Amino acid sequence: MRKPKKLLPRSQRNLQITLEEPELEHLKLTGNFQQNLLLFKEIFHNCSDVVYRDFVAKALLQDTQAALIYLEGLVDTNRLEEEVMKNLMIDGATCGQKELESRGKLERVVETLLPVTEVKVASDLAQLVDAVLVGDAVLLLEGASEAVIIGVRGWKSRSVEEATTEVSLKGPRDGFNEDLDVNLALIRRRIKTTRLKTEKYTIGTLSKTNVIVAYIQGIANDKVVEEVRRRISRIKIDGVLGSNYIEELIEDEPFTIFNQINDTERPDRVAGGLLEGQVAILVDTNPFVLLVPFTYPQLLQSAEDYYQRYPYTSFIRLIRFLTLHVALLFPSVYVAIITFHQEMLPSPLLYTIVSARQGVPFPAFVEAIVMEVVFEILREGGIRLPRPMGYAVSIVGAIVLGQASVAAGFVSPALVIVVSTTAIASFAIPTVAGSNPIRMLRFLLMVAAAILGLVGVIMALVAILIHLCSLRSFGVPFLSPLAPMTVSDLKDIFVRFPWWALPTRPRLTANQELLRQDELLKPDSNEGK
Amino acid sequence: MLQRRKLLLLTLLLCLLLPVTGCWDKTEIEDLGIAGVMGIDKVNIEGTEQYLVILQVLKLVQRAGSSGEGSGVGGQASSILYKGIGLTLDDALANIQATTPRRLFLADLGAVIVSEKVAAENLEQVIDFLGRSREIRLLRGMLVAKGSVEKLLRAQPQFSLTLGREIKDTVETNKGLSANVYYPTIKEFINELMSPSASSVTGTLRMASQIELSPQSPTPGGSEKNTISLEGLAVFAQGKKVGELTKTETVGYLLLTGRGIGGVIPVQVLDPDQTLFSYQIRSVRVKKVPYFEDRLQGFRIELTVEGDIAGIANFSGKLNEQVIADLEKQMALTVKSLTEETLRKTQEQGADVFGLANVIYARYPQLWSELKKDWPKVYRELSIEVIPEVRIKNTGFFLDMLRL
Repeated sequence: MRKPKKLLPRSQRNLQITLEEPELEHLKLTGNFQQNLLLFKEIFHNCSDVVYRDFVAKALLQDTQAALIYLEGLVDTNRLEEEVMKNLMIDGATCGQKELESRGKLERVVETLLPVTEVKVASDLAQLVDAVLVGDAVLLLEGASEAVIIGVRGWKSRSVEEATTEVSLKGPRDGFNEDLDVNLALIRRRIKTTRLKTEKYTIGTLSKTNVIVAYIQGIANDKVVEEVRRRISRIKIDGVLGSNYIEELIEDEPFTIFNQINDTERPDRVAGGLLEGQVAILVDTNPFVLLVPFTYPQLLQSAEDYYQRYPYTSFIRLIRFLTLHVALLFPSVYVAIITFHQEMLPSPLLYTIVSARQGVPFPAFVEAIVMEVVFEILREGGIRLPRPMGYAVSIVGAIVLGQASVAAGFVSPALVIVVSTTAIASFAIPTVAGSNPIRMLRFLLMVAAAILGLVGVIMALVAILIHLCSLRSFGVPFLSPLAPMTVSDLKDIFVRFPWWALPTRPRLTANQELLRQDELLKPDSNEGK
Repeated sequence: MLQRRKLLLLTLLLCLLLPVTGCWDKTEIEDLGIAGVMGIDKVNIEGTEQYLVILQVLKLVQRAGSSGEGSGVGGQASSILYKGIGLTLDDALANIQATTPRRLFLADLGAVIVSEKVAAENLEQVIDFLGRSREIRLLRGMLVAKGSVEKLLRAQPQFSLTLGREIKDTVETNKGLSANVYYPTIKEFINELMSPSASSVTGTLRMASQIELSPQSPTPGGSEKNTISLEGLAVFAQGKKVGELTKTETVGYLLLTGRGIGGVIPVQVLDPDQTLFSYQIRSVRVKKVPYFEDRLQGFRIELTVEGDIAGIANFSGKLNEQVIADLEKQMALTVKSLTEETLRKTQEQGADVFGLANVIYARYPQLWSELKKDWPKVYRELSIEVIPEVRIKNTGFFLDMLRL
């Protein structure tokens, strides 16, 4: 038998290799066109998607060899043809030989022949290679020791569609897509001020993902912004493929099941957060934008709350608060009462449950756990399947499984009611970040209920509460404004006061410029009488 | 270090919670033998008096194909009468437990029914058992059976699943509807027996029969069904049953304790027409005032009754203020005779069920310490006068009697 290879201690393992690109730092272009081209070909060796287009630039009086280097699929070839090649290849030059010699070919090209907004001249090879990789085209000219980076980026991207994870009846329908520029534009369309700052970071040594930190200067807490900057620039990773990569790397407490950073697909929600002093983190190639600092009550808020009138919103918020408790507690309280505290049931209910449970082969706890797990399987199955099949799965799950298992006597009808009520309740929590922890904690509570009855449920709840109190999101207590209590911020937690009664921003997120509106906005009900 | 100590303390506290309850205490709900009513009697076995406890245990079965259309649960329930004999009540109960695969569950008992013999001889044990039990609710009642407890428990409940529930529902529904059905909760009963007056009452149950009409009935006129009926009160004093109150005396009892709301009292007016009124009680206020002539002479009980005229018969005049005032006077006389009759009866029984002793105890503690010893005797000799004041608040729609 071979001994298993012993791993070296972490500090001695070579962890650097995958993180860094081949060394290009000191390389620069030479004056030799062919040599430059070869250099590129060598760097992009075996990269089948790189296109080298050689042509003769007649527009420069004397024929000059030129080459365009770009990645297929990442540039807008129409623009490349119309705005770059056409101008360079057609002999329509107007300036004289003298001018050309005095100012150099490259400058002439940039100044008169390239009707493109984004143009940059560079000789640094590393910079040029990066430009090609992000979707720009690089123009090499014979006799020039510099090259032109032409911004003709254009790739296929999803159009702005409705956000699927946060649907609302009223209010705007647009949602973020995978294009960072589009996403930023969606926010900028809502907040037109120079105070909206967007700081750009590139994260990922291989993925080189653009990450933008957006905030409104003067409203967002400077310390939070500084902390976001610090935590983001600390990240050294090979690639960032989704906002969750960033989320897990910058959150305050890594060992918790609660999300301490909110993510949203809705630009209006981000704009709302920015106006309240939150900091948004946009990640390229990802439609989910992170919002910090994030507090627990926001889990129960939906963008729609601000598009409906306040009495209805307040009613719905209270319902959601109830929903949260149903989703969290219903199965565990059921298990606790059924197995320990039967005397709590009113007689008719007792009789009904007893007769419903006659002949059921499993104890209530096992029954409940199995059904909840089956539900989670169904849910997961339904998400993965394409839409039409998803419906089929729901029907199989709901009708066939539920009905059949009751008819066969595997589970009691009462439990089916409990499980389905819980399921619907967990869907009624408006954010995924809010419902996921609840769904997991349900199992913990069920175990506690099976061991210690209601005492166990209460103990688990207290433990959860203590844990929640200990959490912070970028320094802001997770349960604020409930604990620590900020009375003025409670106006927008369980109920929503009308806009004219909400003159201030949340005290803990935005600790500067608290006042957000004139305090005399309340409509006069005597007006017009 | 501090953190670790805190953690240790927390773990310790959590461990301490474990003995409180735990999964070893769990009982699956379907394993419960839900007892609906409990009967307590005494039997003589080989010369020794032993307790006979009868439990009506529900046998709840799932309806075949319960997922099918309109499956109700209640209809299928039947029940079993378990009987156990023992030297003590707990012994008898344990003997029942030994004969059933289900864990007996007493929290759902609707009522406890004791035989007259037990009520007269062993009330203390029964009360101790009921009060000490961890499961039996103190909000249920303990009633006295006329005749055999076992026979009574064989009666079929007509509208509820268990007989206990039927008794409980009968009284609860009748609160505010009728003035002669009453029993106290076990808690009230114990409290009254433990108060200085040491007297209380509870309901008595007897067999009755009703006609059930159903399409499947074998006999055309309907079939006779054994049911129970609550009638009158059993009176307790000094830890045993000392007598009974009839239906009319029950009305007097309820009036004097301020309870008989909703009851209807027929009033015969002594006029040439022989007019009959029925008076429905809406509110009752009672004030008990002792009076002295160098020693305790008696009590004046001021009784203020408010109510409505519920019906009139043989009335030829119109209901004007004069008539109503006359009627109130007549009514007051009826109330006076009704209540004083009840008072006389309880005096004969030596059962101070109206809690006059409590008034003395509360207001004249010195005097009470003297009277405490032979209060039943004192109570028998008190002259108690009821001073009623009756008001008619509402006459209904008609001022005179409808003549067609």
